[in-house]
Amino acid sequence: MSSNPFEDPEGVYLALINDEGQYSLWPAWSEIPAGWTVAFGEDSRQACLDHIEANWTDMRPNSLIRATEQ
Amino acid sequence: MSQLEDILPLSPLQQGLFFHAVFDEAAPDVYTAQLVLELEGALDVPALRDAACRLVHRHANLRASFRQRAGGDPVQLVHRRAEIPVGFHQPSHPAGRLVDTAAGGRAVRAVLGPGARPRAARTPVNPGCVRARLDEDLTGRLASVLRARSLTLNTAVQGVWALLLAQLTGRDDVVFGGTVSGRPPELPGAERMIGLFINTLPVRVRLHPAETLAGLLERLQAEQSELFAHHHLGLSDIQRACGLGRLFDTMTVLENYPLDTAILNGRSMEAGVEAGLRLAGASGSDATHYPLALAVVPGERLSLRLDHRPDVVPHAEAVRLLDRLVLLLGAVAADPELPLARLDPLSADELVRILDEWNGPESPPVPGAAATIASAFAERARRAPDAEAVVGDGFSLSYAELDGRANRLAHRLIGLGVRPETPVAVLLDRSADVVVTTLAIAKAGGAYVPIHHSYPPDRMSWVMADTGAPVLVTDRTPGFEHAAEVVRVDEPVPADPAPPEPRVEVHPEHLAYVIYTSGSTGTPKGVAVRQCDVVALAADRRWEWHRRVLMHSPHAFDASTYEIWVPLLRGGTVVVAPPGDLGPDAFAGLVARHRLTALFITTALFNLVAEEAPGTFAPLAEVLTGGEAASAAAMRRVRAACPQTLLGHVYGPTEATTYATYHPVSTVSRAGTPPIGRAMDGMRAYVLDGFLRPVPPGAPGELYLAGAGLARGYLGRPALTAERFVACPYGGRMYRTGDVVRWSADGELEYLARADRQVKIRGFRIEPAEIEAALAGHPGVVQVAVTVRDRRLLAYVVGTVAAEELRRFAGRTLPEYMVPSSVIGLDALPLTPNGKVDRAALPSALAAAVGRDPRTPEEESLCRLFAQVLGLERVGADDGFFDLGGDSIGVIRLVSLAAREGLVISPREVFARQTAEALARAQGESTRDLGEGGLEMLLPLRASGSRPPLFCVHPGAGLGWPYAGLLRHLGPDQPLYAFQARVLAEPDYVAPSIEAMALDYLERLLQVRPHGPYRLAGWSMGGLIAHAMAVELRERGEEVALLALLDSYPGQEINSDERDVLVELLSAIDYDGPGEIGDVVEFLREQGGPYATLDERTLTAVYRNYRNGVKISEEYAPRMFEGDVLFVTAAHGHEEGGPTAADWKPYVTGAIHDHQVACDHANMLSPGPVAEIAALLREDTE
Repeated sequence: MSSNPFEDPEGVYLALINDEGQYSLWPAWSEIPAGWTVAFGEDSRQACLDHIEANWTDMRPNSLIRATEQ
Repeated sequence: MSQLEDILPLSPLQQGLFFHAVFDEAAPDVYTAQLVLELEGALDVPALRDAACRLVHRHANLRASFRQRAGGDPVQLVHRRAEIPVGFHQPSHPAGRLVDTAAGGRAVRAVLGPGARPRAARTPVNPGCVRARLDEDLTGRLASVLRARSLTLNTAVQGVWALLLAQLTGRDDVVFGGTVSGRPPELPGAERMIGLFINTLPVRVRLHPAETLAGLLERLQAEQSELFAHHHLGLSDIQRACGLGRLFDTMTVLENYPLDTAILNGRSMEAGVEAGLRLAGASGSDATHYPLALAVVPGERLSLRLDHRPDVVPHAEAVRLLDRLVLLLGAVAADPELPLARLDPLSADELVRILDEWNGPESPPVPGAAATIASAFAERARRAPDAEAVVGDGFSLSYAELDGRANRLAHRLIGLGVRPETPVAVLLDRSADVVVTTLAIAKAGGAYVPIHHSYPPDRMSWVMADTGAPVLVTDRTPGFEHAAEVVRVDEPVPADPAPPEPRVEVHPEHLAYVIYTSGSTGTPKGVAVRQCDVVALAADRRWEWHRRVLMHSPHAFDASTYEIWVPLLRGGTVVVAPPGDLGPDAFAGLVARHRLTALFITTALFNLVAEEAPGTFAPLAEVLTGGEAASAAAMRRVRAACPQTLLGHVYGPTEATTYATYHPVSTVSRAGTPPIGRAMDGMRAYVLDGFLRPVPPGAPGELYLAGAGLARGYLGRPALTAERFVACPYGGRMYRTGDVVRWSADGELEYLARADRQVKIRGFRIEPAEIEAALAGHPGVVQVAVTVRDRRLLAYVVGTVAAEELRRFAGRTLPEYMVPSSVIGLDALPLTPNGKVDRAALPSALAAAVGRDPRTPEEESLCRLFAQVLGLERVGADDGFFDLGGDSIGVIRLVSLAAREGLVISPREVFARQTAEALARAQGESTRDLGEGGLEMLLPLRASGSRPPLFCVHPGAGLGWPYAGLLRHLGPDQPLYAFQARVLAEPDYVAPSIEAMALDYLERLLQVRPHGPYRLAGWSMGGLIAHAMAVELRERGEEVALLALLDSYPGQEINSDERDVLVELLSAIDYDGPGEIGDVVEFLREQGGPYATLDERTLTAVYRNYRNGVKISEEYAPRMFEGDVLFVTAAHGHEEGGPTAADWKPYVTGAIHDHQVACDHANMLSPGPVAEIAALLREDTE
């Protein structure tokens, strides 16, 4: 089995974000799925994860935050 | 003049063909390559014969035959003359037909006598064959793309073959055979020489997702041309050089023979053929021993021929593969700059089937998808308030009653500050309160955090701190550190009318619960599941008959989600099982008593029930099972015994809300394990390769899950969430499971393996990395690696800490099922070439014991004997006998073997001293306490230790030695004594009754420990004696802190398996007779006298004690014991209607906590079960 594309310690990655404010680690070579944009990178895997850890401070989806704060 | 012109060695390919020809004479000769030319017109036979003879005369290789020398080396003999028959008969002489002689395996065989037969793994068979031709346009475009980049057609063929193989195997690094001409340009005349020079060599291709098609081909061509100088090497030379075995099992060949294609195409007949003779057609037949071989013939329309062994690759599959090859060649022609990761190698039809048809409707009808748990429940309570919601032995709650109780608790929680998403910890024994509490928390909007009662206190505290739960709902004094407000549900309920539904705005996206699982980063991770995930699970159409569902899984495992919410949110009934672990026989009673219609049972327990009472499930509409690799045999048994019951095989990680896929098991006739099926309603399953593309059916890939039921993520762990819950190419997010699966041809998922190191032991999901992190926290540990062997966790440690100390250290923070069963010290961990721990190279537990080397002859002898008895390669002088897995039988063998070498040691000394060093030292001591040969009434198995001692009472045979197996698992701190029958030391003694034995032992007990608290345990008949001792102690006003009964039943005949215990003891000295005393004594007499420890006298005593024990056990009338009982049921071999732990109820005032251990009565203290029993005893001591 080939190594998982999300587990390559030497790989180049992106931090993606969607409309709900959810983040995803993403290999830089792969097409970015619809609904997602690049929030950070290209950079190392750890740098992308560090960015996510620092910036994704409220893990509730945006739609929930909006619905409950009206 | 000799008939022979020359004797030559074989070329590499000839060697290979020779091998295959000799391998099986009877098999069809698959290397008989024929080219049949159909000639029309008047054939000048003498001219053809003359031409053929000249050809054969000119080329020595066409006159060759093959023979094996006396020494076994094959040689080719070049004959001076060879006649070519032309006509209609079969050839009979060396050279054979007008073919490439070297390929003529039949000719080879003709000259071979019987000789040494090489062995081979595969039998060549005549291959199947599928063909395709590119059209002229595509052929032309491909040629111009290749020409523009100076790429050869051969490179393109090898490149697309590599892509196809990668897809088939799920790998990004592939090797296959490529055929080279074997005509080195520096050899004069090489191009014009007639004969077979080709050679098949390994081609290795590594694929990088970001590389373009053209980039791949250019790199491949460059790598291959660097190897050109080595093309003459035989495959076996290469295998020798690189030290690998079988290198590849597929191959490609570009058949660019210099045929005049114009003639073959029939365009210019006159060009090279005599007038009047027309070449009407040509057809070839070739064969291969490879499962797959691709031959490509250039031309105006590129021809592809895929030879396949039909026994490995069926025809339909070969057709699909060839289709994909054509697609790939088309992709090269269309856009050579396309990165490999964007290449879609599946056809549109295949994609539709895999992504859509096999995933069911994308938005299935999920009734009440916008609902919350509270709103879905309220709807049910409104519609049928009097329906039964929760029921158990002795209680029943209607929907209205449950609603009222949950509302009351919800208001209390809200009063304590619980708001939407507030974590609320729950630590409850199984009871209706579990349902009331979880519903109340859902009504308040909070997220329940169930805590497993077997967690060590440190782990409970850690979970409380990690969630920051401000409230803990429980039915006990918590017993661990926390900062939460405690709500006790075991307090009386006020009589005032229940308050109404609390008015809380709960959103379907709000969290419903957090369940912790093992984490590879060293700390557990909390899976945060939303309200809508629970509602979606409950709404699945598969649960139609799940009206009365058994709740028996621990609350802290996500099976409880199904067990609580599927019935409650569908208007059904939660049937609450009594607390404690359920054994196979408990299920039958519950099924009948509560008219159950469905239940979930873990794989391990399912297998146990299937083995012992497969008809248990017959009254159910459906039984669900899953969690570990399923046993097809167990499923077959249950299907056969319960033909009316549906059997659902379920699969799912906690992250996808309990169940993600489902397979209705109808027939289990197919070989291998049953599939895990297809995605549940609203959920989608994708099997993707390393480039994140769907793999074709049959190819392994990693399973990703998307859609309804996908949890929000890991509580408070954004980075961890972002690496597991990732963007989905088909919309939204997907969870990567780490499970390697494949699609079957009919669209069912089949589980293959884990992609990472996660393991399951006894159904528990475990990350070895978490255990490694915990062990690394000990100051004496330098390096550590944890692996699983034979379903046991092994820790390999570099450092200074003792094994038992490390296990105890681990037990303070890890649940019992995560504490390694063995700790093996190493000087260094083995590493792979790139510096990672080489887990495959870690020694097996039975090869590693690393104490210091022996220094004296006595130590040396004892170390050698230890190793011999324990089955280890070596044992150090300071390694403990029991730490390395020694047991009572091992003690007997050790003492016997030592006696043969003139070393006098007693079993008692082995128990007391444990190491070769200490036993050797004893040899030199002038006054030694040999005890009574290990037959004394109170045998100290370990006299030291700070904890209150544990006293174990002998089973029917009278020896207490089997309890020695507890030593290594209870730890060095735990003193352990075993009572043994008086008859062992006083052969004429006959115990009058169980109570007399108890009083006899009590007297001795009080000498060692004058006052309580006492801890007592007894296996089999020993349980009766321990019970009698406990009764007596209580009546004298002493405290009995523990009474543990190991598969011991009052008022029963002693299980006749006792005799097996005797046989087992005797088998240590190679006795394998029936166990009758006369026979045993006869055996010993024949053997002579080396068995000082197990002499005739002892055996007679053992036997007599057993016989007498049967009698007095039947006579024993137990009195009432004031206190609780820890009971261990040997779950195997239990018959319906047989005795159970409940038989003790009349003789015990407190609770009977029954634990099931998967073992027979007779082997309860064998290595596996004894570890589990020790864990239970230890837990109860703490």
